[in-house]
Amino acid sequence: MDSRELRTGPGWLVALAEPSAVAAFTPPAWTEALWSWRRAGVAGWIATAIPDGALVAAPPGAIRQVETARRQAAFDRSRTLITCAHLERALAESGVASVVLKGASHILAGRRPGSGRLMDDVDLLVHPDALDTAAAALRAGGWRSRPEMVPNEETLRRQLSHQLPERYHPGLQRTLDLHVGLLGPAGASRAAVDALLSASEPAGGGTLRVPAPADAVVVAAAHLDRTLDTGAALRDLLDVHLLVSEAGLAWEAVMDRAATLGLAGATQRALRLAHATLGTAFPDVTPRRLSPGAVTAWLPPPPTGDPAAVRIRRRWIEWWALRHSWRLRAAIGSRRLVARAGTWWEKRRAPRAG
Amino acid sequence: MPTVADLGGSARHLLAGSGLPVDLGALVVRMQVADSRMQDEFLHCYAFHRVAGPDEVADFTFGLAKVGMLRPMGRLLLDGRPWRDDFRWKYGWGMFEWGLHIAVARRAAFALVLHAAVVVRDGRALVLPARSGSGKSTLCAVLVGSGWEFYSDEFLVVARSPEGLRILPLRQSLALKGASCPVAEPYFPRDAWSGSWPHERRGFVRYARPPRSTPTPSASPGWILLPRYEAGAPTSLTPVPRREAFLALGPHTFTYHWRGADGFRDAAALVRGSACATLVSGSADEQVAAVDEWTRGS
Repeated sequence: MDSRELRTGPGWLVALAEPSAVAAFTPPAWTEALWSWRRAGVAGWIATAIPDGALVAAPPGAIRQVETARRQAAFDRSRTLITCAHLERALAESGVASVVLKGASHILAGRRPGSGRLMDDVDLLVHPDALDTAAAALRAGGWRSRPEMVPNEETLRRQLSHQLPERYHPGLQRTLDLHVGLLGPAGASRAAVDALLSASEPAGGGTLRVPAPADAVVVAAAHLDRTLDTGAALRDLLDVHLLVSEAGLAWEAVMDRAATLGLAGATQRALRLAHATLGTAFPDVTPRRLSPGAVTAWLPPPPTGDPAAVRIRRRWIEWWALRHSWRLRAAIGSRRLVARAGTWWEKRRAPRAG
Repeated sequence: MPTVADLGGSARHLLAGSGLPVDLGALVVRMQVADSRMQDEFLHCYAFHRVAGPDEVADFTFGLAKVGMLRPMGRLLLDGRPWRDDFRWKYGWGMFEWGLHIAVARRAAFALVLHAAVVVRDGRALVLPARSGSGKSTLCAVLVGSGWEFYSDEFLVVARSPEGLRILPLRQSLALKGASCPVAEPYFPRDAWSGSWPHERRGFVRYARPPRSTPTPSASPGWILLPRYEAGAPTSLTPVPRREAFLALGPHTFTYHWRGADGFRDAAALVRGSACATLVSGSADEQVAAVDEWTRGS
């Protein structure tokens, strides 16, 4: 199916596949579109993608907000490139092979999803065996761990998660998410990390690398599959759509890489969802269409609440995501409770001691 | 166009549902407030604000929700997403107003936004940039009570237009904290004031509803006054070179980083088009007299 066949969704969704469609927006359609795009975290991308000609007759409020999103995206792009340069310098002497993931990788590699990307943090993947070296190099480069939420949180996350507690650089005012795997506990995806690192490509003219296009699709699919924020999941879908369209990726090629990285199920779901919501075109195979309910559940909820069927489906998706992270959540939650109980007990004892 | 007060009961219905689009001047904001007590405050403070029509776009959606049963907390919602940390419900309305300020700054990169109060007379704007606690909002309130047109007690919005640089209104309600309230109270009718809400640093905060008037859509730069309240100090209004005023604006910018060189040029043009002075005073009446004399002569 070509993306031009997509005509049945709401206007703001159609505009993601064909940005010039905003030329036909009425003021109420603009209001809903701005709300939905921001809710889904794609306002910067669409603002950059809309051709100026499509804004000639747009109402003043729309023009204001498109300009706001464009300026914020341009600023975020500069900040991300500066952050990557700092990371490169910090890791240069350690010799650790590192791959930038998600939004920052698209910006660094100049890929379509990076255009207009609004960024909160930078994601960096290193091999689990190189974690200590990388962590020391980052510390020397000014990246600090935030105060731990619970005792031994770093150790806990190393055992149960693929992602360590975030690091923060006070000078850059940026947050870094350090990954040692794609999903699940660190050790579970060691082979996948090897495969992803070895297929990665240089980007930005430095030593930092980015995933190969097909791997980038798989990373976006993995994030989509496990996110608890179904409203923001559309950004992952848009990443999949743009990466597939830009590189002309075939369904089979992406699925081969997904199987290598151990994420075949998540990737298949993401590809079908991208096809159903954004009309992502595949040269080799037309995926089976999804039911409208399955698609709507992934979209940002309307301001006044969802139909019951969509609500149930959304809860199911959230449960699905939670199922894969319950060990870490339970461990951190219980330790937080113990820490709070300790604080409460100390406060109780303090007046008596005085 | 109807005001919020003109809508009657349907305003509550919209606030609790899809949102009530309110024109703040530079922006149209779709407000969502489900709690009836907070709705009361909203309908009081924004009674004279114009409701945006169906042919206008809401720049963003801002809401306040009550969460939790045993220990109710407030949650701000920006475009449908939880925003900032939850807070104790007793701070409810104060956090709504504060959150709306910050949300506006995030959605206004199309213009230069500075932390400053703005009042207008004869189409020219008097800008009062100052740190929190320096008497900016109090001076703004007494000037509005003395006949100046209210534009904002928190943000200066400077936008480019075919006519040149224009200052846009951003009307919320006037926030007066702690000891400022007794100073400003005589300048507003009694029924213009909201209830009292706790404030962590200044004890409490009250909100004054701006007077009912037909607002001018924009103003040209006129004056920049750097106010400082000092209890018991004699009133002294001293003209300052423009370069000093320009440097004084620096710490108060909110969208400078997004606007880059354009932000610098707009700030420079604003200062170039304004007479600049500092004002030290400990008396509201003397402040008004000094400002009137200075603005009529420059």
